[in-house]
Amino acid sequence: MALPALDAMTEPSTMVALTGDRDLARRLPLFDMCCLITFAGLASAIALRRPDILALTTPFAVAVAASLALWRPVDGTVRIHPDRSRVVEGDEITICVEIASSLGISRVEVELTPSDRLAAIGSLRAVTTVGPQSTATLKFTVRATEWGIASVDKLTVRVADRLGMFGGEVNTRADTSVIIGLPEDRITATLETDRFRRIVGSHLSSDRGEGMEIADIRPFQPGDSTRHINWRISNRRREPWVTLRHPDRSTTMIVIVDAHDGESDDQRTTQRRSVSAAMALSRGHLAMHDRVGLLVVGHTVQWLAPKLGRNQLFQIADQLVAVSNAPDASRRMYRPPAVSSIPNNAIVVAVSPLRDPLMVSLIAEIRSRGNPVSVLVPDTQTAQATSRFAITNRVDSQARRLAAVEQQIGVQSLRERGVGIVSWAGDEPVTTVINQVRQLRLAMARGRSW
Amino acid sequence: MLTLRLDRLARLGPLCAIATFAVPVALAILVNANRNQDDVLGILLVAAGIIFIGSVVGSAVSSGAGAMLFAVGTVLAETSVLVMAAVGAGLLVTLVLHDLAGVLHRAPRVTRGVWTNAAVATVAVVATSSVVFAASYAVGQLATWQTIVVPFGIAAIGFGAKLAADSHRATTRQLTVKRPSDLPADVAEQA
Repeated sequence: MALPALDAMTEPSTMVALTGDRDLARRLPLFDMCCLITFAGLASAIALRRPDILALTTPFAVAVAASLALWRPVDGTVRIHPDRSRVVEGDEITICVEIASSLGISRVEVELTPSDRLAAIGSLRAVTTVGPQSTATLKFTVRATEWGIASVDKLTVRVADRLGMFGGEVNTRADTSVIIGLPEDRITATLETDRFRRIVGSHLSSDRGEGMEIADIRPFQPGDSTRHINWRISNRRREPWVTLRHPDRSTTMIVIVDAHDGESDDQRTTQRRSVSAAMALSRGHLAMHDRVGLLVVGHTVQWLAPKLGRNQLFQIADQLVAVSNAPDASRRMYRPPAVSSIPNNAIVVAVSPLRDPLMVSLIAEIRSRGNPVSVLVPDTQTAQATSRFAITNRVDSQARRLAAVEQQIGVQSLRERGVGIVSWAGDEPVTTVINQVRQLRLAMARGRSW
Repeated sequence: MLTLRLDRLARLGPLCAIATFAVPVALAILVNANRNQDDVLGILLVAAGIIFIGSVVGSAVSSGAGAMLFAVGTVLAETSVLVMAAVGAGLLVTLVLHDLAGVLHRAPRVTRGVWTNAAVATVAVVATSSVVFAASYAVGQLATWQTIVVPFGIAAIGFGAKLAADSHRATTRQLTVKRPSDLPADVAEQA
């Protein structure tokens, strides 16, 4: 999901207006204390008939008078924007905060509170001054720690005058977000087609066949289909000519991602691996000029119709990143209308832990339409093993056992329908497991041909 | 690396908080050395401690109360006017440092302009107050004017403060007034 080509685009930014904000024109506690000291000193001097007491309080009186006389309404804007909107996990992002003012601000403090997926490098607070008709720029560095969509949750701006007697605080939410991709996204993986592609590679074949690309034009010969007659040339040559085309070697790949809940650690790990595999498959097949579509099934249904090209890769990357922000599981949909849009000749690869019987039935339905279907099942045994010492009760363990049995039944029923299922161990790389899928598909194809 | 860390430490709020203890202690020693009456060093040190605690916990009320106690101790010590003037300026500097200690907590990045602004403003206030007090005190020492100038001077300062406060309030109202464009269309028509 690291798409540097889009970095050149204008980065989104959030603007906060300070002008006219009543919260920034408040008395601060220091003003009250200075007033109290001043009036206490004056009262003491009068009561005790000792003007020398005023020596103690005159600086406070002058400070109060000066702050009142020199006070001006705060005038300015704060603009926050990251230097990049798409990064890879582990990358550093510079968040720029520009404070502009026409009258100047004596002291302005900016504090950022990023979301969980961003970790601060150094302090995320800065105090500066802004001169009249000028702009102060503050830069904060954060690191992208976890894939998904990250943002600055809160931007706090505190303003004060020269003596710190008037000012205030404004809290706002920065709408700008950063898409954090997985580092594994650079991995490319592809599957062999058992029916549609006879060669491996992205080069155009010299063979003739049914396709879109024009290969040659020649006179009509016995056996040629009349559908291939090129009427324009035939009219000019006064005899029938036919258009020959390159065979269409590309195929259609549909990737289904089970966007289950990502609340617990093992679920988030599974989600991450699912997205990683989906991205690797999409990248590999799009590079081979295959059409790739995406179906994300979870809290909402995301359907991307199969298309070619780099733009489709960007679309897929965006949809997959959004998987990390699944709010809850209460609105899951298992009968997406997009199922009927999946072409009959498309290869379908689902990445799902198959914990849910409804997901199993969805895959079974797609298989019943005749599509070759493979399922990558991310194994969660490792994550469960690490939580062995967690406090559990009998009901929990029984529920887990029941879920495991249910999963096994679902896997078995899918195998009986001819769905290739490959288990994915936690330490296994994406490419290895996709190679296993490829071998399984080839073995199944050989079995069918025998 | 060591230089960098020292540089960071010098910018931190805790250093300002320590300064809010160091400055009153220095003033206490000055007052104690020039006292004519009771031994008030204990009161002054307690006041310095209250100011320091106020800076550490970020309470302007505590620091202000400490400053007032310190002023009371100075008055009880019956020191010279010059020492009292120095104590007044020192207490103001202490409260400014208290404010900076709050701003600079959790080690933010600070630009030089912040220090410059605070220093210039404080020095300007101290210098102005010294001049104002010197002039008014010199006039107040005249036997003829003493009974007249002090009450009128106090009234003049109070009146000046009131005028400034009124001006501030008027500007704030002007700033935050609802403009017709901010109102809904039907309300704006009625307005």
